[in-house]
Formats: sequence, C-alpha cells, structure tokens
Amino acid sequence: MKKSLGIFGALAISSSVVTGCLDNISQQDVGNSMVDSVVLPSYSRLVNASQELNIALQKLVNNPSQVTFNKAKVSWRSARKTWEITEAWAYGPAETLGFDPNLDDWPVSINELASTLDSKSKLTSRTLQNLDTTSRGFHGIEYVLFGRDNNLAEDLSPNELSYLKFAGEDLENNADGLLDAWSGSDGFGSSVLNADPSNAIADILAGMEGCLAEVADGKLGGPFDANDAGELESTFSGNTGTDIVFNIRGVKTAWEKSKLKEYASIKNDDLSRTLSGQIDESLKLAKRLPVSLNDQLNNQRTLAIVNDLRTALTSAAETAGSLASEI
Amino acid sequence: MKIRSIIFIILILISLLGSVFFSPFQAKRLVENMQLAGGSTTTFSRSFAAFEIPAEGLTDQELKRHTDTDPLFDRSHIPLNDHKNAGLGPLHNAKSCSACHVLNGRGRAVLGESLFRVSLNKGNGDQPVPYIGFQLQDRATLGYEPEASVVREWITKGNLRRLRTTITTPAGDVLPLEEVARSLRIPPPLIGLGLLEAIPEKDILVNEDINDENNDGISGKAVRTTDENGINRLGRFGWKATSATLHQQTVDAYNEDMGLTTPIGPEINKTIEGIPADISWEELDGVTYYSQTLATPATAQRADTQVVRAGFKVFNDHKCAGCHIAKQQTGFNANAVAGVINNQTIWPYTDLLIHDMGPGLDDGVAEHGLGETFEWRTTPLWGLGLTKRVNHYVGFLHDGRARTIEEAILWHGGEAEESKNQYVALNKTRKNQLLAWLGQL
Repeated sequence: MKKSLGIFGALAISSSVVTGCLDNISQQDVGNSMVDSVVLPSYSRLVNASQELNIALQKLVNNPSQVTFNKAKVSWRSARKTWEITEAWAYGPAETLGFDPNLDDWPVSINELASTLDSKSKLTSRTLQNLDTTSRGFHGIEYVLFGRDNNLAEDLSPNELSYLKFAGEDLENNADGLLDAWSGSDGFGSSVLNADPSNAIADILAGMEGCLAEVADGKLGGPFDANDAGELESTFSGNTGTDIVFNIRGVKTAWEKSKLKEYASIKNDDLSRTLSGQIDESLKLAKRLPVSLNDQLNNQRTLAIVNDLRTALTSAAETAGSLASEI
Repeated sequence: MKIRSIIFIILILISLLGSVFFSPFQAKRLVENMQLAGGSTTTFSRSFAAFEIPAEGLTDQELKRHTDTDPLFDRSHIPLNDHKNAGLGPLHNAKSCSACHVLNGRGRAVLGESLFRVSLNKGNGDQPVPYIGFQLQDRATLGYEPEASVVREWITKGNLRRLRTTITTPAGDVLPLEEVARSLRIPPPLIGLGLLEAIPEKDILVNEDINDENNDGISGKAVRTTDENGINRLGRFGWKATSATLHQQTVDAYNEDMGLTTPIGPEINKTIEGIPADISWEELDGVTYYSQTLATPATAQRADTQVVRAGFKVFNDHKCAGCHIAKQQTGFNANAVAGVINNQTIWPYTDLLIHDMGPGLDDGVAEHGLGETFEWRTTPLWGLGLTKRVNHYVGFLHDGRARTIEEAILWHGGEAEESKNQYVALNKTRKNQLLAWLGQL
C-alpha cells in the first residue's frame, strides 16, 4: 500500500511537473503562435513566391525563350506550394474578403478564357479584370502555361503573353492584399483572431478539419468517385499530388507550430496523440502519390493509396472535430 | 373547518415539495432546451465553421448524403458548350451557392457580391423594371452585357447609415431614384432551415393577427404563395417570406442568381420550356438536402446563467418576443428528409410572419405581389451571435446597413416602434443585458 502510494505519489508529482510546464501554454499563446508563427510567415512566403512568379512571367513576356518559359513553369509550381500549405487556415479574409477565389478558383472557365485568348481583340489589363475569377489566379495561369499545348515559348500567342503579364500582376496583388488583411494591429490576426483566444483554438481545429475533409471528399473523392480526370485540381500541370501533400503539411503546421498540439495534450492526451498519428499517416500516404494523378484514376496501386489516404484523412478530420468539442 | 385546514396544509406542503423537487428539474429542462437551439440537431461548435456543420442525429446514410452533397454547394459553375447558354449565366449574380452564402453565413456585400431587388416606384412597387425585371443581374459571361452596374455609397446620419446606389445601364443611362426602387439583399445564414420548413402551418397561422384583434400592436401576416408543384402554401423563406419550400428557394437561386436552368422532375432532365436543364435533378435535390440538414449552433451560455436570465427577461419585457417568438415545435412527417427533424422543440426566435417594419425599412419593392413594401418576415435570431465570427465583414438587416446588433434594433419601426422606443429608454445596464444575451445566441 505504501509502495503503491509512493508510485502514485511519484506519478502525481511527475504529472504536476509536466502539467506545470504545459500549463504555461495558454490559449492566448496558441492564438499568438498561430498568427505570428504560422499565418503571417506563410502569407509572407506566398507573397515572395507570387512576386517571383510574376517576375518570371514578365521575363517570359519580355523575352520569350525556352529558358524563360521553363522558369515560369518552375516558378508556378513553387508558388503553388506556398498557397496550398495555407488552405488549413483559409478562414478570415481568405474566404470572407474573396482572396481565395481570386487566387485559386476552380474549375477554369475554359470556354471564356480560350475565347479571350483566341480573340482577335488585343488582350488588355481591362480584359483581364473583366474576366471572372474562374479565368484568373493560379489555375488561369496554369492553363496558359501548361494546358494549351504550348510546348515551345514561340507557340505562345501575343494574347497569351499579355494574359500572363496581367494575370501575374493580379496574382501578386491578391497575395499582397491577403497578407495586409491579416497584418498589423487592425488586421484580422490581432483584432479578431486573438481578441478571444478560445475562438482562435476553435478556428484552428475547424480549419484543420475542413481542409482534411476537403482533400478526402473533394480533391480525391470528386475525381476518383466520378472517374473523371477533369475534376482533378491542377490537372493542366499534373500537380495534384503535390497540392495534396502541401495541404496536409499545412494541417501539420497549424497543429504543431501554433502549439495547439501541446495545449491539446493537456486536455486530452489520447486524442491529441491519435490526431498527431493520423496526420503523420496521411502525410506519409500522400507522399506516396504520384505528382500527377491525371492518368492514375484506374491504376490499382494508386487507387489503393488513395483509398487508404481518404480513410486516414477522414479519421483525422473526425478526431479534430472530437478534440474541438473537448477543449 | 378543521378538515379543510388540514387539506389546505397538505396542499401547501405538496406545493412546496413540488417546488423543491420539480422546479429544479423543470428549470434544468428549460436550461437544456433553450441552449439546444435546434433541438436534437444542435451542434456545440461555435467556430467560424459553425454554420457548415451537418445536423446532429443524422443516420449514417443521411450523414453520407449530406457530406456527398456538400461539394455541390461550393461548386463554381462556368459556361458550357452543351447547348446555347448552357452552364452559368449568361446573366447572373453569382457563380456558386457559396459565393453568396459565405461559409453558409451572410454574404460578401462588402465586395459587391450580392443582389438587388428592383421595381418601379409607380403603383404599389409591384411593377418590374423594363429590361431588368425584379432582380438586377449585374454580372454576365463573356460576350454578354450585365443588365446594369451598381455603385454603392453608405450615407451616415447620426449613428446610423443607409445605402445610396447609382444604377447605370450598359447604355450609360442612370436609373432615376424617383422612378426605380432598389433593395440590396444580403443572403441570410442557412442554419436550421430544415427545421423551419418542418413547423406545421397551423402553428404559424395561430399567431397571425392581420387586424390586430388582440390590440397588442402586432399584426403578423402570413404570406400565401405556390410551391414548386403549384400548391398554395404558406411562404416562410426569403426576406419577405415569398418561398414556401427549400426546394423552391433552391430552384429560384439557380435560375435567377446563377442563370442555371433546372429540371421539372426527377425523370425529365428538361426545363419547363423543354430545353436541357443545366442542373440535374440529382444535384438540385442534393443541394436542397444539404441546406435542409445543416445543424443549428447551441447558444454560448446555458439558460441558468445570469446573461441568459437577465437578457431574455428584457427581450420578453419589451415585447421583442411578440414577433421573434422564442420557441417553436416541428411536426412529424413520415417522409421527412431526416428523421431527426421531426418533433423537435427549437428556439429560432421567429414567427415566420411578415410585419410592418415602418418607413425606415420600406425598400419600395413589393415582391411576388405582396401588397406592401414595408413588410418583412421576422428574421430568425438563432446563431445571431456568430454572425461576425463566421464573416467579420458583414452587417445586419436585409442590406447590411446595421453594423451592430444595436443598430439593427434602432432600425425597427412600424409594429416594432414601441419596442424600439422602450429599448432606447432603457438604462445602460438593461441595454447591455439584452445585447449580451443576443450576442450569445
């Protein structure tokens, strides 16, 4: 009995020491970390990458060559990663001020964009602004760079080059606007998300849950259930697999870098560990996907990975939801 | 006499025992019920995504259907090649359901993404504007001209603001204010719609009092309309209660807001004009189902808290609950889209009737033959406190003119004039009690 008490006592002390350390993490800490260590740095990287993409596009427009064409494509893929990783926190201004559709609307309105590009009328800045967001942003640029059988730089028409010039500027402006909307004392991060720290925690978990479910049900479920490659996001560049990896990396970043993982472990260590494991498992499976899924919809090996990945993502989303109701 | 005294004492004792044993129990039930705004469908999430959560209590099969139809709500529509004007538009206001119902809450009016109802000022506000009709479609697909463009300006007078708009046709003509009434409409949140649809008509009509025969100053009126099958029914959806069912509301949104045609039935994938429908019956039914099976968020506070007790008392004392009827009961329908919708006690704070809201809210537009332009359906208040959590940049009332809940109260007139005046006369403590309670809904 005495021995048992000793063990329990030691456990209690050990627990209180650990808890004492973890208790230093407050809801406010999590909210602050989310804004300062996750969201703002990520949107800064998006701004930088969008700027690099825009510069690469302007170089292509001013000097169309295979080198500048390839560099623009590489820059598109790089910038794309910096956007996809942010989808787990695409709440606030990204959604409510329309930056998400401005940057990433899908599917591309191919009829309208192709007509505009093939028109005999000169494409101007005003032409671009009159196009719907389904003809602009990442996927509009992707369509022109990858989706129009333009294998050589010399294949690019004057209107296609003009489009890339204005669409690159438009993309960079929207990335700037999104960072601005979150920044500063009047920005969404300080004035809204951190105004009530308990809200910040609920929002981080809801953002993670939403992203996990969207990848499972939308990005994978849509094309694979319908057996339609046209429903794959980033189909023109064959970048869907990378998109998905970075979506899940974003979830992992929100979970860990915001310190929410540590905070949650105080409240419910089992659920916290389960969620960590499910996110890691999802990421591991996603990395096994081919970068391009365009010709993989009936590939049995890929289908098996996709099924396992969807199960892992759905489980992780459910765990995030359960955790949200407990903390 | 002695026996009477004993009986009297026994009765007193029973009463006292009853109050000891039953009151807390009853109070607890009240506590639970009031917080469970959507009855058994209630979610306890109060995150930014609280309006996007499927109803609690759905069966696995129902939940799967809800989850499967969710992406349809977000799908961006585009022009297609199948037939002339296939797909989006050509004239439209938005390209997807979620473009207006941002995160299933109020829309992006701040970015100009919302629609205007219009009508000629002459007559009763029930005459369409030539070449536009009753709804201004300010967007068009490539190769088409929108019906008009709209420039907005908020004019602040005192502590309140109202919208001034300039509507210009493609030919450059400005539609004169004195000739054309215009009413900006912000989409309302989608929570609890399946529950509102399931309230029996008789329970709504019991509150109708067109001639104010009970002399309480409130004369709620039911709107009669026809549903998608041509059956005369009670209107209960939309700012002026002109839609009877969520199916009809969904059809109208596809047709008028997105320029997408819809089929007339499950077996016929054609419109009433006989042309191929842009939206399949499966998608139309699916999106309707999605909106019918969303959860309603629980209130932030339990009913036994001071915030709720005090605020709800002010709400009742000043007759706000005369129109914003707190509690409703859904009926039973063996064919309900989800069993959990049946027989629920819910707390939507609406009577689903239309009321005279006074000249300040008279928008000059009489929809679907409504006789008066100053009548509005009592807005459900559930989820009110989450409005800005879901979308920080929206306002209240039909056009978002009210930046705060208090401003929305101050715009009340007509049948609500007396309640508004009583609110104005309250001391600061009582005002804050009411606002705190509303803010936690």
